[in-house]
Amino acid sequence: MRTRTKSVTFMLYFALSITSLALLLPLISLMLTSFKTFNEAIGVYKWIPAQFNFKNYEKVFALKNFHYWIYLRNTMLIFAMKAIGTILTCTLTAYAFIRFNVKYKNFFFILLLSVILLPGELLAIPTYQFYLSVGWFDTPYPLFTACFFATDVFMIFMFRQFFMSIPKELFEAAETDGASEFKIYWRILIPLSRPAIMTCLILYFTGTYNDLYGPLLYLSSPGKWTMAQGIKSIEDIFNLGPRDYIVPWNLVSAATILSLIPVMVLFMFAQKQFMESVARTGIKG
Amino acid sequence: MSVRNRKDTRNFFAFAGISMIGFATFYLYPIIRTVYMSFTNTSIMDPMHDMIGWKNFKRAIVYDDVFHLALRNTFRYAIAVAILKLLLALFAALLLNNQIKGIGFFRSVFFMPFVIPTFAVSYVFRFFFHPANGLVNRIFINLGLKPSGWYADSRTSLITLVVSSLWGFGVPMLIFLAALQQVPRDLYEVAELDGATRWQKFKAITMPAISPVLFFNIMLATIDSLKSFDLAFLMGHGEGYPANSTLLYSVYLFNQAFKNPWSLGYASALALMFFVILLTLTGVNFLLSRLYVKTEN
Repeated sequence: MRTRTKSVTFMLYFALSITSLALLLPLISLMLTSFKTFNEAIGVYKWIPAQFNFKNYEKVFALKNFHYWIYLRNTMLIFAMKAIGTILTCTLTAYAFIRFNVKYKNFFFILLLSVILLPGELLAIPTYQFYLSVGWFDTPYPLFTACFFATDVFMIFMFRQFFMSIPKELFEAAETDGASEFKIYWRILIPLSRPAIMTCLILYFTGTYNDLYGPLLYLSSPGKWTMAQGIKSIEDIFNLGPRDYIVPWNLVSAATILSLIPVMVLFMFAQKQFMESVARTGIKG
Repeated sequence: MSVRNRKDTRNFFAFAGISMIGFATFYLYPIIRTVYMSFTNTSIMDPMHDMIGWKNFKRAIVYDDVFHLALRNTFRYAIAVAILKLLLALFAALLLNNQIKGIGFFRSVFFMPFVIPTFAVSYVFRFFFHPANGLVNRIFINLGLKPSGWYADSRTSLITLVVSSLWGFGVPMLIFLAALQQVPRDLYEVAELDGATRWQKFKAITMPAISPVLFFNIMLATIDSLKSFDLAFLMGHGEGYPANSTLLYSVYLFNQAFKNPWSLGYASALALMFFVILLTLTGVNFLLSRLYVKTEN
């Protein structure tokens, strides 16, 4: 450890605090606004609301065309299906790649990985037509079906990396004891893979929660919307005219803050894992 | 030996077969179909379609003025976001790379904006920059500056979008930070004994040491910012508001494909061109990386 003079340490704390404040300022501004009255929120900006109460939050829950719990439930269901599909099929695939020796195995693997380079736009149109033709428009199925076919190659890669760190002798010992390959996979590998599964869950939770593209394409009736669509559309409830209508920021900010709660709770309880997961894969879900 | 081989092959396909079906259905087939459709005038309204040769590409490259605008917006936006985001991430990582009390707290605070979903980010910044109700204009007025229309004015809307996009710099920051923590401390101590200044140490030790992750970060930032959809879609009300000034490539493509008149053929051509652009830039990044990436040996 190098020694630091007091003034350098002070400068460091100063820079860290200023940067933190600058980063938090937009969020603080929105949070304070969720306690303002309508008139306070749409006037010239003022910092502190006259009184703090949860009236705006109550109003958001009472809104006729905004259903927080339904959006949350829909999003969670999609998340659950995506996570189950991916964890099941991607671990199977990754296991196959580390366990069995097959000709051209590496070629197969590189072929699978190459799809990382493809932009989603290139695949979206035929996929959209396909789901339309099987009558799955306005259902959540198009949002998770692909996950049941090990299509998330990022996750295959991630699981493979993780499995490679498990000693091979473990599998071999089980094999000599007469365990079937499926039993080795299910009884030995999966219980050992908790950290990798956790990474997948965290990334999928934020990814699904954040996703707007998919729901916009497939979910049209409000009862099926995800949180992303619900929050995106909340201003339309108050939209009576052209683009420059008055947005009731007191209610919109309260709804936005409410929508942040699930991800923020996850972030707070699993900060370390969260940052490790994201840094390891470099993606937002 | 061969019994083992046969068993392995059987097992391999039993376990990995599903991924091959997935690869064929969700990647191979859509790509082939997109390439095919880009030479047709397919639209959802009119399922019958004709082969029209290169007309879609010609329309995009020669005639479509809105597309040209979207292309220009996208490049301006992507270059600005990529550069500024990486600078911000590097600055933050350098600040965080100090063993002082409470550094974990600051790391969480710096990372936190990344966790906020884009649909919320859009409201956060639309309120922050709101011409009449927002904090930024209030500060401008207090400082005696002229308030701006920000996202509501086509001259400043793209800049506002860029600034709003910078918030979530957490990923490149963590990647830089991990690399900085790998740099051996004694290198700095030796340099200090030789009387090196802060800048000299940064240039001679830090930069070469983190150059491989710099390459990775540049790659990620370029592709991510070129592909951005969510925030531009939300802040531009899905139409590049105001006056197409925030219309990005992916938003334009989305509107061509999935809104009236659902011109899937034309959108397929746009998607194909998008892929070629991304691939080219990835290649350029690779070539340029030889100039600045210092490998171990």
